[in-house]
Amino acid sequence: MEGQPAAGARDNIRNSFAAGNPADVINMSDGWVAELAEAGVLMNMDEAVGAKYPQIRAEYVDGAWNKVTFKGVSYHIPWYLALSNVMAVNTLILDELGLTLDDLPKTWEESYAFAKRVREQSGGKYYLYSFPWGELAGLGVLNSFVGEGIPVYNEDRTRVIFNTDPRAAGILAAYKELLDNDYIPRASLTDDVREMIDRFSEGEILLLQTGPQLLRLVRENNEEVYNSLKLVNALTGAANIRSIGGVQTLVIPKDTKFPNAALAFAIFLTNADTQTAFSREVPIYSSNLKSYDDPFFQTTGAQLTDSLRPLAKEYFTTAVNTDILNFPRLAEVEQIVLGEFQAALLGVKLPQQAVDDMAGRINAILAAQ
Amino acid sequence: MVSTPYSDEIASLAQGRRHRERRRLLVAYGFLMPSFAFFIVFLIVPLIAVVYLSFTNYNIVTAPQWVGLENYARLLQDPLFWRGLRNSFIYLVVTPILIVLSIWLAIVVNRKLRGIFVFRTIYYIPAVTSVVAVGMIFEIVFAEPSGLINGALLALGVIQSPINFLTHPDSTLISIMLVTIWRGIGFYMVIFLAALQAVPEELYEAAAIDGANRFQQHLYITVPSIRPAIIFVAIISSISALKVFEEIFVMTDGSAGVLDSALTLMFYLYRQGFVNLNAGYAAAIAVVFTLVTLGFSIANLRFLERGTRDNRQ
Repeated sequence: MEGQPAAGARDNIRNSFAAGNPADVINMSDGWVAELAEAGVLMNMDEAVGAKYPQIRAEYVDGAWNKVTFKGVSYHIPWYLALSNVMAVNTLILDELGLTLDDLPKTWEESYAFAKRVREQSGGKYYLYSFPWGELAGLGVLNSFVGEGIPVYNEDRTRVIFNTDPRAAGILAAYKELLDNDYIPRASLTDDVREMIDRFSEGEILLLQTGPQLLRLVRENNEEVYNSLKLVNALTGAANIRSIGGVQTLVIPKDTKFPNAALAFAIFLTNADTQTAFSREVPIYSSNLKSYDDPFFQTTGAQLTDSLRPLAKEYFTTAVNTDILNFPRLAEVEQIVLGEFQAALLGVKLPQQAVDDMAGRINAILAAQ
Repeated sequence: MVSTPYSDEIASLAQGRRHRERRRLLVAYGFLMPSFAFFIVFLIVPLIAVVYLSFTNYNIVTAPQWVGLENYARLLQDPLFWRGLRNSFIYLVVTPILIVLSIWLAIVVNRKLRGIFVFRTIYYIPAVTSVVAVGMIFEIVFAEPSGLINGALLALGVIQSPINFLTHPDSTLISIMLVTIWRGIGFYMVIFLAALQAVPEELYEAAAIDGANRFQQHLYITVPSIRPAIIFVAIISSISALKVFEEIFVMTDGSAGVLDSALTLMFYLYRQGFVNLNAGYAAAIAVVFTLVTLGFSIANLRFLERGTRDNRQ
């Protein structure tokens, strides 16, 4: 077994494939799988698991199994998952503004007016939320389209068509209005997730939209803010879609010398018992639905995030994959979406023009496949 | 051949000398070999490999396939390549600014004052500070709305709304250039300081007697005297400016700024090679970039040397 420091791990994995000596089973986050699947160096898991262990495929959270596919095929086995249906509330700000948890917006649509209210009611001291658009705009924007019920692809998935729905441009226009009126920090344009969490930890933001596993960063930054946190349901779009959050995966190189042993090991790591034992040690959620039959997942603990444990099974049974990670040349697609999104927000293009150009450029990539 | 009584001795002496010469050469080559091997393995081979890869569709993970001139043809029609090239040349503006400020600072600290070494050390510190640390500090300095500059200016009432140092496409590159200038001044100051200390004091005394003021003394004595140092700094700082990467990466969190406003050729090379995995295309960018840098450096050197020759004539 070889541990890799997180920084540089992706390059090390790529280099190991280039050198022809990758590990037989590799753990990586979902966003890294697509490029290797596209390069044709990973084992087809739909085929391999279907042939060797046909009975266990149904045990896995479906949205996690299909989190990343290339040409409709999954090349990874999902390992542990993150909850993405909650958000953290800084109750210090809430109290100062004389608001309660019930006053908070439930949908993105409601949140736009509430962002204005928080800014004005606090005399410009607080913001409702901020965004990590410097890092995640590409995926975030497309996910917000899905969340509002805007169809991303055409029926045979050969083209994207989100630009034909006026609500797509409407979302960009709403964000532009928030930015122009200083209802969200302008630094959202360049912030990454860590900077967004730092901004929340400094006590200037009311809501933090992130996986609960990252709340430890708030505790490290500012214990006073952490101790005031409450977890509530995350904002949803009009379609009320629960999208699957981050997925840690296991992949196996296609040319491994030990395909059977590698697959058996990956299955062992992701079986219900192993993942339940893992969940007891660290606050992660199992990708194996049978884990949630264990009484442990009905208990809560002393930590803030422990209160979410009993809700996990219901969430993962219904959470769906939004297909956003399944574009070919994913990194380029992200850059296209980010560029057009920024062009709309900064007034370089009208929102409709930006989503048209976004779709046109993505379709050029899809057509080239 | 005529044999003499000493011919055997002469032949033996000549042979001994040849042996010694050969051994001396072998020792010399033996000492040269490690660095030569290092040079071949880590410079020449990668250089040849990059040129080869620029004609392929290499994606780092799988074997490269020959695509001929396709990457170069694509470059010509790639607006981001041209934006990167344009921004790289805009970045060259830091070179004259760095030269003028470094010479000025070197003149300021080139005095025999008690404790002057403290100032020299302080000015040099940015040059030895990690670029990541500098980038993080300047993110705080440039932060909106309550960074060091914006916070101070807003508190003093100088500005009504924060300056968008890193969130506006027109100011991102300029803000990062300021960081490069801040980091570079101390480093180049030391080079100019060394050159200044070789300028004879008598020249300034003679000029003062002839009625030259301080500015004239520096213009007509200092600048010509340190011209070799200026040429050296002009070339290395312009090469550094053309291949700037770290400051941009750290200050924009790896995004090249809003609307790719701080995208330089080097950054685009990185993005294509290591983010998009288009390593063959990135290799083509690298080849063009190397040729551009080489051409610019030769032109720069010729221009500055011609100035030196003209002055001598």
